[in-house]
Order: sequence, then structure tokens, then C-alpha cells
Amino acid sequence: MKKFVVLFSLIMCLLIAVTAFADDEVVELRFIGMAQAAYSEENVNDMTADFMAAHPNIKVETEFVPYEDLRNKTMLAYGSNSPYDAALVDDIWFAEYASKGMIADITDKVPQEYKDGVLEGGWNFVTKGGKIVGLPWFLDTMYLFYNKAMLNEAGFTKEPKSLEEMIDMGRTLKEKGIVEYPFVFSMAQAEALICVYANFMEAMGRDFQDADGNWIVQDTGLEPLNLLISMLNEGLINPNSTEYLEEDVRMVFSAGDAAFCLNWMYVYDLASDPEQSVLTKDQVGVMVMPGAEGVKEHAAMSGSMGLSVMSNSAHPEETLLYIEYLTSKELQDAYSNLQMPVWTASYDDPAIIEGREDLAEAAKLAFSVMNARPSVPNYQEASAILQADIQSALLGDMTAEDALNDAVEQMNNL
Amino acid sequence: MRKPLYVRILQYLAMVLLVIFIISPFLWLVIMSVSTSADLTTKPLRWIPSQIDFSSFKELLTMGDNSRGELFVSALRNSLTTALSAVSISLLVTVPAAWLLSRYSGKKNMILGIAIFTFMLPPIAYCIPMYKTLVRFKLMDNSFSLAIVYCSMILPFCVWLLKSNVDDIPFELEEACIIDGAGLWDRLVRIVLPLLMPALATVAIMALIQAWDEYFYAMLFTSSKNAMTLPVVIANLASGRQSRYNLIAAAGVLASAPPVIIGMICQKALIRGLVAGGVKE
Amino acid sequence: MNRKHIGNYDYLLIPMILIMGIVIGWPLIQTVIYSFTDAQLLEIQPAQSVGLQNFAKAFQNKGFLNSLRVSGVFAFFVVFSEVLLGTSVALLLNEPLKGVKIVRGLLILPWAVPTIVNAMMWRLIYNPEYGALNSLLYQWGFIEKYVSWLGSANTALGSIIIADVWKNFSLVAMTVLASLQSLPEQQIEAAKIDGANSWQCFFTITLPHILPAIEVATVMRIIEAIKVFDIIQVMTKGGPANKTRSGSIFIYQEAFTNSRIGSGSAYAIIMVALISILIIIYLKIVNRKER
Repeated sequence: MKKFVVLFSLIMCLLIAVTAFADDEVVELRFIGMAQAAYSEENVNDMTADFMAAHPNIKVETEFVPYEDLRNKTMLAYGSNSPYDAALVDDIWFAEYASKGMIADITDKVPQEYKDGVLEGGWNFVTKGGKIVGLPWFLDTMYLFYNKAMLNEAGFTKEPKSLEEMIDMGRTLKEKGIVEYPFVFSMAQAEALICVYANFMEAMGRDFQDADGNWIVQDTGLEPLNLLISMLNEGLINPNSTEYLEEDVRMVFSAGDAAFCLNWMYVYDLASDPEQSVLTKDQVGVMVMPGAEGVKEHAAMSGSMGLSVMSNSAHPEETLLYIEYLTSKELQDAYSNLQMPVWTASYDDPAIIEGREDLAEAAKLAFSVMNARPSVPNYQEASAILQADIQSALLGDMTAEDALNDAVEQMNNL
Repeated sequence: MRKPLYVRILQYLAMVLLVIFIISPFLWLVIMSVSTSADLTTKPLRWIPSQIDFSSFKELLTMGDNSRGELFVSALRNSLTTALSAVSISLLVTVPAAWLLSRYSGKKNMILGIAIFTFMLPPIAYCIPMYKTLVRFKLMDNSFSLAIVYCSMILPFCVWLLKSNVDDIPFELEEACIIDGAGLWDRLVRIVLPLLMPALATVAIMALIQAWDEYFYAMLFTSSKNAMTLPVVIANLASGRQSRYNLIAAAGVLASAPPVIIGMICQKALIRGLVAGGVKE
Repeated sequence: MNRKHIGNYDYLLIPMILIMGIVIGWPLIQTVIYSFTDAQLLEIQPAQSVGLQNFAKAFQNKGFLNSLRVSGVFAFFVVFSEVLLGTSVALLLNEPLKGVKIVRGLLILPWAVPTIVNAMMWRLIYNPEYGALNSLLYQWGFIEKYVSWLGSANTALGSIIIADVWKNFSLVAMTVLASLQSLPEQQIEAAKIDGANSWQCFFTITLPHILPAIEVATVMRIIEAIKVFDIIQVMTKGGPANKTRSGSIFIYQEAFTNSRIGSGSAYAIIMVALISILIIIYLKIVNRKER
């Protein structure tokens, strides 16, 4: 017994000693980011280490959570005694965070070179009510990645020009036995599903809400949803898609088990990374999702993310310095193989777009046609309702019509 | 009377199936943890790794600023601190209480009833005000406050098991002590505690494992490496945004090691505790 | 015996009651208070009383009722399988077989693996592309195509149930096994001398002896299972199409994702009321035995 007690107290003392260690000379910042493939945790930590080396009086602690937990974590911590100083914010959350006063207005503090140099589309989503509440970190959309080798094998030499042509191509690939499931999408019960759905909505020229902000998706969204359902039933979409997030989709595509997938820009490099993929660079095609015939040529839905200073940060100056560093042109150019920079000039810099002209071109086009998901303060809840109902329809539990009607009814009750 | 041969054969067969059922999922986790990423992402799977690769373990245990290793090792430390603090606090207050409830039974038994009752309520019933309170007193993201929160599930369980164990210590022993003129302290330390020791160890181990296992409160009340516990770190890794399956598996193996090893060593004591929780003969 | 008269040491209870008050009593009362308000997680406006509105809404909320159904279905199947499997395993391991001691020792393994690790482990096993289960069933020819176990409406909950059974059947098995080992052998031998066959022995002696243990384990497990949160949160987060969204997950989302702690508290109180009924049944069983 005595031994046990002694050992026990020893361990406790040790732990307290380890924990109680703190240095108050330096400013300590906390940043919450997300666990993703690009910029990965390692990338952000490298960036942060460089920042700390340049600013020895600032110590930044980084934390990474899965996308699904990012908003909850940010909000729970915001209300608590240990808030974050800087946070990664998805474009759909800016409205909510701003309406709750969670993120600081930095309109007057953003350097002029940022205001001039960063892409127009970037400022759109970080500006709420005329105030700049964040710095754009990366501008992204779900691009259509396709397997050129498979398309060539089926005799297609060009990328699809329309949504209809894309689906026809998939059908031909399936019929010829080139690939079992030509399409793979991230359609788990998560935001990723809404991103895919929103892309189809965009491609068919539909809106979730009317000009006054009323939900009209029960009418406008019916056709896109039925299209997805029929593709699923026909075996064009990989049936496992209802469980997939973006990373799963990337792995299926990289394993050569799909001809088309919708995914974020980060896939571009990884899809031809020999360690993670069986595909070679010349087999990976990238384009902006084609629009429906007679409706539009291209469709893109914003999935950009920005960095914000939390309004209750004790060190707003240093925090702004940190996020300015993360969004700076030099840094973004240095990491441009992972994410295209948010700086207009970078897209004309031959050193940056070399070997990835197709991506740069697609990105330029995407930015010019990019639309956003509904920007409403209770977006997260509305989205959760839509996710569940859309999945019910995809899984055949409900008709598309019933599912969307149910969703709109619930969303109107919020 | 001997069982017919075919019955015995069936029994052995069933036992083999049982062993496979118990072992295979965990064995596969261990195999995954030492496989390379490439082996785990081929179709069909490579059941036997082409090479043993400990790099995931190395990554999880190597410290460095903001590294995954730092996070994981901190979580290991936090899990340990939180569990040990919660169990020490609980035992410290429940040993005397259990003794009193046993020796001076009567209407105080209502307290025991309340303890058992609250032990079984879902954490979701407490978590909202707990969150609000922790925020108000600036106690979020703190191992010690998490330990206090854990008392809500450990303490009732401790007092319940300990009380029934004190019941089994004959009061006559204490009486003899009283006649010798011993005070309360002497009675507790000289008579009760030594006899309660095996039960105390059992309860402590079970409570430790319970605290080690806890996820819900830790997920809500911790946010950084100051207090985040292992289950939270592992749940984050497993959320589908990490496609390095060997890394996830290695984290799982490391987190399982302490309870599994303790479980194997203290098996007898644990089973006694588990049984005492429900069945008293 | 006059032990009641030897001193008054009631103060020994104070520390425990104090802590229980802080971590159990106070939060529970607060939850009840919140349930009558429209309190928000981040207080933008002060909370206002809304009377019984939260409760009235709860019983009309399809999502909530459905989540209670999921909890119920989960608890039923999980406990049913665990008790059946656990009891059978206990009976098997009570036989004088070679190596039986080692297997008894192994029973502790599933129980000791942390819930989160268990959930993560099964999630990897069920992975639709690289999961061991798909690979195995495919190689053995049971399935022609890989199956999305956690992404299909009809397999998701079942897959989680299997994962939970793996971890928790061992608890039932260990409890029943301990009870079996306290069964006096003379009793069975005496019955056999009287001419009873194995089945009669089982039903007249063994089963009545272990029944209390089974009863207690069953109710304990039901109470645990109906609260289920961790394993679902890690494996599916309630998807697909809310097919695996349990009561606890629903309430968590209401309070912490949608920031409505008022109605979240009301849902929690309703769940507490339902579980209380089970606990009372449990306490009745335990008390009956102690008498």
C-alpha cells in the first residue's frame, strides 16, 4: 500500500511540475485550423515555425480538428475562458460568426497591398455588412477531376462540354467495362454532400433561395436531386458514395477506380503523387464542372476559406500579424503546389503555374463564374436538415419531392 | 458423467470460434499499426504486412513544437492526470462516506439510492450547465476541472461498491477496537482500511479505466493540448479526414495498451468488482 | 446491536455530498431550469421563460422522436445479442475444456479496449474501400461487390450494433461466468443421481442460479446502451439520413451545434425521465435480491 501511495504521489508531483511550466515573456497565440490534406497540419506548422522564427516574441500554438468539428470547437471555445485568437473560417460561417460578433472587424487594418493584390472573389466572402472580417486564405471550388486515360480508352479525346455529355461519357465507360463506377462523389451526411449537390444545382442554373431569401429548393432542387438519384440507381455513381467524405473520394479516384470525381483543388497534386496514387500526371485532367446544355457553360460553387481574428482575442495585433503572414504572397507562392495563391499576380507568374497551366486556367475560369451556398446565419442547421433529407432520397427512403418538401418545411420553422 | 464425444468436439469448435471472434478485430488493429500505408490501401488487402513499419508509433511519440507527437504525448499525460486526479478525489471522499453509510444505515441510505440513480443518468443531462459553469469560472480546457467533472460518474460508483464491501467487514472487529478505547481515526485506519484494501484496489482500477475511456465530457470541455485527452485526439484522427490508416491504428493501440495490460494483470480483482456491481450473493 | 449509539460521525458524509452537489445536483437543477427557457449557447440576448413550450415542441419533433426510436432499437438489439452471446459463452467456458482458463482471460480484452478505440477500429474494418471485412467477404466469395456498411440505410445501425456487441458481450459473459462458478456442484450431482438429465439439470438448477446475474446485467446494459453517444459519434455521426442518430446525439446537436440549450435541456429531461423508469426497475431487482 505504502509503495502505491508513494508512487502515486510521485507521478502526481511530476505531472503538476510539467504542467505548471509557463513563460510570460512572450505573447502566446492560439490558432484553430483543420485537419486536411492541403494545407496539411505539417504545412501549417512549418509556416507557423517560420513565423515564430521571424517574430521571437510571439509563440503560436496550432490546433487542428476535422472540418465537421471546426465550427463547434470555435464557438465553444469562443464562449469560454480559453478562446482562440485566430480561426480558420469556412465561407458559409462568416455570416453567422459576424452576426454573433465573434470575429473582429479588420477593415481599417488590412494593408492596402492586400486589398489591391488579393483576388476580388476573395474579398467577397470575407466581407459581411460592408466590413472585412477575415483574410481570404484559399479560394476553392469543387473542380471536376477526370481520368484522361479512361476517357482516351473509350475514344473520348476531349473533356466533356456539358453536364449531359459528362454523364453520357460515364455511361459509355461503364458499358465498355472500362470502369465499374465512373463517378464518385462525397455524399456522406456532411457538408460535403451539400457541396456536391450545390454544384449540380449550379450546373443546372438553380438557386436554393429566391431573391428575398425564401427557400425554393423544393422546386428548383428537384431535378438536380433526381439526376443524382438516377445516376446512383444506374450504377454510374459509386454506391459507397453515401459514406464518403472528400478524402475517400480522392483515394478512390487515385486508385484508378473512378473516371470522374468532384473535389477540391488539393487533389490536383496528390492525384498524381506516386506515393499516394497509381495515376501519372498526364492522366489527371482538371476542369471546371460543365453546365447543363443551354443553361450555362460552366458552374462553380465557392468552398473558400478565410482566416479571422477572434473578437475576444487578447492580442489582436499579433494575431493579425500572424494571419497576414499566412496569407502573404511570398508564403502562398512558396506553397503554391498545394493551394493556388489568393493573389491575382500569382496566376500570371510563370514560375508558379509552370506544369499546372490547366489548373491555373480552370481556377481563373472558376473564380469568374463562382457562386456561393446560401449565406444565412443559421446555415449550419439548415444544411444539416438538407443533408439528412437528401440522403433519405438518395438511399431510396423517400422520393426526392417528399424529401425536399420536408427539408423546406423544417428550414422554414427555424 | 462424461459428455459424448461429439458434444466435446462441438464445444472445442465453439471455443475456437470464440477466440477468433475476440482476437481478430484487435489483432487486425495491431497489424494495421505496423503496416505501411501502401499495404493498407491495396485491393484486396495484404493481410500480412510486406514489411514491419514502426514509423507511425515513432511519429506519435516524437516531440516537437506543434507536432503530432507533442499533441499525442500531451494527451497521454492529460488522460493520466485527469483519470488519476478524478479517482483520488473520489476515493478520498467516498471511503469515509461508504463506511458511515454501511455502519450507520437507516434513512441515510437514501443518499446511496441517489448516488446509484445519478450514476445511471446520461451525461447529456448534466453537460449543458457544466459547460456554462466552467465557462463562467474560467475553468474550461483544464485537466483539474475535467477531473472534478469526472467525479460525477466515478464518485457514485465508488461509494456504491465500497459500501457493499464495508458491509462484509464484520463490525465485531471494530467493536473490539472501541473497547480498547480507539477513536474514529484508529478504527478506520487500523481496522477498516487494511481489510478494505483489495476492494479499494478493484474500485480504483475500474474507476481509472472508466475515466480513461471517457469521451463525451472531454470532447466538450477541452480544446488544446493543455487538457485534451486521448479519446478526443483519437476521435479527431478517426473522423475520416485522415487517410493514413496505420497512424490511426497506432494511436488506438497505444491508447488501449494501459487498460488492456492492467486488465490482464488484475483480472481477478476486476471480475470481482464487475460482479459485485450487480450480483451479491 | 447498538452500533447506532456509538458516536455521531455524520460529518464524514459532507465532502461527498458537497462534490455530488456541485457536479450532479446543481447541473441537474440547472438543466431543469434551462428547459423552460429559450437560452442560447452564446448569450446574445438574455434567456426568457417560454413555459412548457419546449416540451410541447419536443413531442411534435419528428427528429427527436426518431432519435429516441434509434436509441431504443439500438439498446434492444445490442442488449439482446450481448445477453444471448454472453450467457452462451459463460456456459461454454464453465465446461472443463483444455485451455479454457486462457480463453476466460481473453474475455477481458474487448472490455478493456476504450470505447473510442473500439469505434475507430470497427470504422476501419468497415471501410468500403480498404476495410478488412469487405476484403475478407470478397475473397471468400460471400459478396460480389464491396459494401458500404456504414453508408447504407439498412446496414449502418446493424454494423454499429455488432461493434458494440464485440466490446460489451464480454462484460455479460464475465458476470454470468462468475455466478456459474459459485454454483455448488453437489447440487447438480445430487440431481443427476435422482435421474435428472442434463437439460433438466440446466433448467431446474443452473438457470435459476444464474438468472439474477443475467437480470442485473441485462438492465445495466440497457441503461448504458440507451445513452449511446461515443461509438455513434465516431462511426457515423448519426448518418446516413439520420438512421443512426441516437437520442444523445440529437440532444448534443441541438444544444451545441444549433446553440439552443433551452430546448436541448428539455429533450435531455425527457430522456432522463425515460431512463429513470428503467433505473427504478433495476433498483427493484437489486433490492429484491438483497432481501
